[in-house]
Amino acid sequence: MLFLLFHIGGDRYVIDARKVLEVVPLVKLNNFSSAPDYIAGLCNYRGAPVPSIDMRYLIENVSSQPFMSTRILIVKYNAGGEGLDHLLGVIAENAIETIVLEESGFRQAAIQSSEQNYVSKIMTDARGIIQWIAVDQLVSSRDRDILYGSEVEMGE
Amino acid sequence: MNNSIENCWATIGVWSKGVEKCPKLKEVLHCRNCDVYSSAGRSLLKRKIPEDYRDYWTALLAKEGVIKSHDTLSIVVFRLGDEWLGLPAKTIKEISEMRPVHGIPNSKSNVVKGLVNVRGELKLWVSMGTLLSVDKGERYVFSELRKSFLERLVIISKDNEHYVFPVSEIIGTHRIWKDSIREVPATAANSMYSHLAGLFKLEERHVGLLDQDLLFSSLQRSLV
Repeated sequence: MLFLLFHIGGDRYVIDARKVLEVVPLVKLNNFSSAPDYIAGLCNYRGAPVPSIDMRYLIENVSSQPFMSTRILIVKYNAGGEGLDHLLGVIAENAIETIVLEESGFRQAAIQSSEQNYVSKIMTDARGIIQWIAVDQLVSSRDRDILYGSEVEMGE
Repeated sequence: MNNSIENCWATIGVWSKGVEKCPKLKEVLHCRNCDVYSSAGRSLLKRKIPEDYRDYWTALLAKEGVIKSHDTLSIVVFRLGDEWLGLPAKTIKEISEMRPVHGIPNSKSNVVKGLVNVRGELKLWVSMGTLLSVDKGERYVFSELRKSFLERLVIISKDNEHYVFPVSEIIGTHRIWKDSIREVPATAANSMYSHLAGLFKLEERHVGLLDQDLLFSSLQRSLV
C-alpha cells in the first residue's frame, strides 16, 4: 500500500495515498474565525473553500513552520454514513516522500482517546514508530458541523 | 535532522577531483543512488517559502481547474516527401525496413508499383505519393545514406485488405487530443487534402490526419 509520509517533531506519520487528491505548496489561507484552533484557515482550492488542519498544531500545539517542505495535502474527508466526500486540507511538515508499507504490518493503537482518535494504527520498523493518520477521524463530530455545516442548512 | 550539509559527493564522491573515494561508492556506484546525497537534496526544501512563491501558488490554486476532454487518438506520424501525415495506429499492422519490390507485368495502375514479400506473404506495394499527389520533396534533403536509414515500409490493413507503402520517415505513435484536430480548409483542393480527416500540430510540424475509410476506398479503386 502506498502512503504519504510526513514528520512532526521527530515522529513519522503516514496517510493513505488513496485519500490524497493533490499535494500543494503551503499557500496563504483565509481566516476562519469560528473554527477550532487546530484549523489554520480556509484554503481557496479551485474556487472552493477548503478548511485546513494544521497537523503540528493538532499534535504539538505549535503552528507548522512556513517551509518549502511544509505542504497542504488536499484529502477526501468522509465522516461516514451520508456518503458524501468533503475536501479537507492537511498541513503537514516535511511532506516530501511517499512510502510503501504492508497494511498487515500495522497494529491497532493501544491507546484510543475518545475525542479524536485519528491515530488509528501504528507500525514499528528499524527507525521507530510510524503512525497511520485516519483522515476521516481528523475532525471530531462536534467540529464537523462548524466546518461543513449540515447539508440541509446549506441548501436552505 | 542536521542542518549543515556536508558535500561529501564533491570531496570523496563522483564529483571529486582527487583520488579519494567514498567506500559507499562500491555499493551504490554513483552518488545519486546514495541516501546521503538524496537526503541532502531534500534538506534544500527545509527553507523558508519565498513570499512571491507563496503568492503565486495561492493565486494559481484559487483558479478553476481546466477540464480537458479525455478523448484521445493514437496516431502514427510519418513523412511522405514534404508532407507530414498521420494514420490511426489501429490501421497500421506493421512497420518494417525497406524490402525489394517485384514489378507486375502489364500493370496499368500507376498507384500499384508491384508486389512485396512480407513474412512469406505477397502484398501489394502502392505509392501513397502518387495517390495523394505528394511531391518527392525538396524540403527535406538528406544524403542517400541518411535517406535509406530513415525510410520504412508501412503495412496497413482494414477488413482483410492489406497494402504496403514506403514512407520517407516515421516519428512514432503520438497521442493526440481529439479536440486539437482542426478541420481541413475548404479551399484546399488537391488530392492530398481531399483524403484528410483533419489537421493537427505536433511540435513544429503540421500533420495531416488521413481519413482511413477514404484512403482504403481510393486504394481499392486504383487497382482497376
